[in-house]
Amino acid sequence: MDDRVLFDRFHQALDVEPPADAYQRLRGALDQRSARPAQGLAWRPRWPRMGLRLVAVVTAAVIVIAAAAALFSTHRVADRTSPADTSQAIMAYKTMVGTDHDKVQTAGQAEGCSSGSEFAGCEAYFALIMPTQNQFLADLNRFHTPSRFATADSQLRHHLTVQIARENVILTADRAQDAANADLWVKVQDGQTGRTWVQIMVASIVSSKQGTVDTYVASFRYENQKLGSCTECNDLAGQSQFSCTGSGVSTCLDLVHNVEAQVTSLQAALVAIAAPGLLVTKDRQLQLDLAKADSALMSMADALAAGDQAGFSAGRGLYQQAMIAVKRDAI
Amino acid sequence: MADVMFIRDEADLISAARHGDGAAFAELIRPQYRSAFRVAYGLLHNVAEAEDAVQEAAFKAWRRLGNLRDGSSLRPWFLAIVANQCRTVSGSKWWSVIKGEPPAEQASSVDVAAAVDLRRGLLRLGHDERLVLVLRYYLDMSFDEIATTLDISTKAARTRVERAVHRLRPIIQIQEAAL
Repeated sequence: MDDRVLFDRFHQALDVEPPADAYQRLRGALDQRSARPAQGLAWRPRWPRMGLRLVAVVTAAVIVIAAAAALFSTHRVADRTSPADTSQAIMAYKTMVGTDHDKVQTAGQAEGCSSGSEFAGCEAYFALIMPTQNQFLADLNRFHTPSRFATADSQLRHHLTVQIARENVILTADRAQDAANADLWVKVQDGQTGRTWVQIMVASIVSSKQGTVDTYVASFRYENQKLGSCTECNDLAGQSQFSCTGSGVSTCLDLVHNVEAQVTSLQAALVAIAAPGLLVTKDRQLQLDLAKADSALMSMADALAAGDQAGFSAGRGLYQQAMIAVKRDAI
Repeated sequence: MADVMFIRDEADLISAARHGDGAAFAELIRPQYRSAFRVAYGLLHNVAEAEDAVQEAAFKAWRRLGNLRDGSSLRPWFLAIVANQCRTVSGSKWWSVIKGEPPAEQASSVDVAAAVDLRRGLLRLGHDERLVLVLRYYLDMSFDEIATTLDISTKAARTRVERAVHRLRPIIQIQEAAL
């Protein structure tokens, strides 16, 4: 039996085409899992409880510094925006963002840090991931940001700064063997105000295209409608009372992250389809107001984890103001 | 979100997929879908199982997209993941050989009977032997392509194919003699 016969026999025996809708089913399944972390945190610290008060104080200090830096950074968005809006400059920025984020994503993958008992592995994981985050920040700071990414860039730096601050808090809890605190901060960091926001925004920046009035407005309205019909978002923006102490902390954190998911979707939509000339001013205001809502939600998550009720209330006030502005900006 | 993005070139798609965009990853593997399905069907001999295996492999590939080296071709990498998924599926189902065989009444002509016998013969081989035969004689791959897919040398790919043919030949010749 020669080769030619074998080819024929195999094709005769096995020639079956995929079912007509098989690829579409696969696409639908992949679509459903979109915007979820492709690689979850490789670590889940569980340590014995100790030093909660000390870690909370350090946490609060780190967050205040990070928030102040972020606020300063947000206010400087307009100043930092350069006229470097050529397609080459946009491509260079997208490449830098995609490449640096890839490095963050892949750093530390080989380290074993799946439980709290793997102290050495977790330390090694942080030792690998934090330099990549700092490098990402440094590259964002040195780049002339194309104007269409100005607000997203500012928020990206804010998120990275807060992530690094949170990781330092987890490291401190790790060294103090404070399991409960470490787990709580891991939940904050692993959620929508943490690495998930960065993943979604980076994907939007990398795939961003110039929109037309029609595509931009359609994209905005689609996401804005979802935000408007989100019950938790409306509850948080309204006068509903929440019990966010004790066992309620985790529930409130979930609420904040669910709301942040909707805000992120709208932010990402505005970045993925850049506003056409006619709508640029409107778009910039909208993105700035959404950034305020995003920052407020981040500060609420941090305040919850730090047991800072006043901080949570202040953050909620800022979120409410931001959402009023977002509604006013709506196209 | 994915519905409203305009993604065009492969670099964009890979980058977007690496950052969680499922639609971008679906676009990336669209050109490979038919080959992936054929590999899975060639190994499992069951349409539904083949479709499921490709879908599961796609999710695994998406999660591991960061492992794809820059400049490497997506096709052999993805097909290798599909093949591994099929190995898992067939290894976890002791009844897969029985299920994979077509009903006897389908063997109504010599050609069909020969096809059925080839399938039965394949199912008597091990996963690795079946895989190299499917890649070579069903997907019409060169030895170079097989080598890339299996991450082995071209010489090793040729040797594996020859060895698998050597194992398959007596099985189907005995069956042919019995027709």
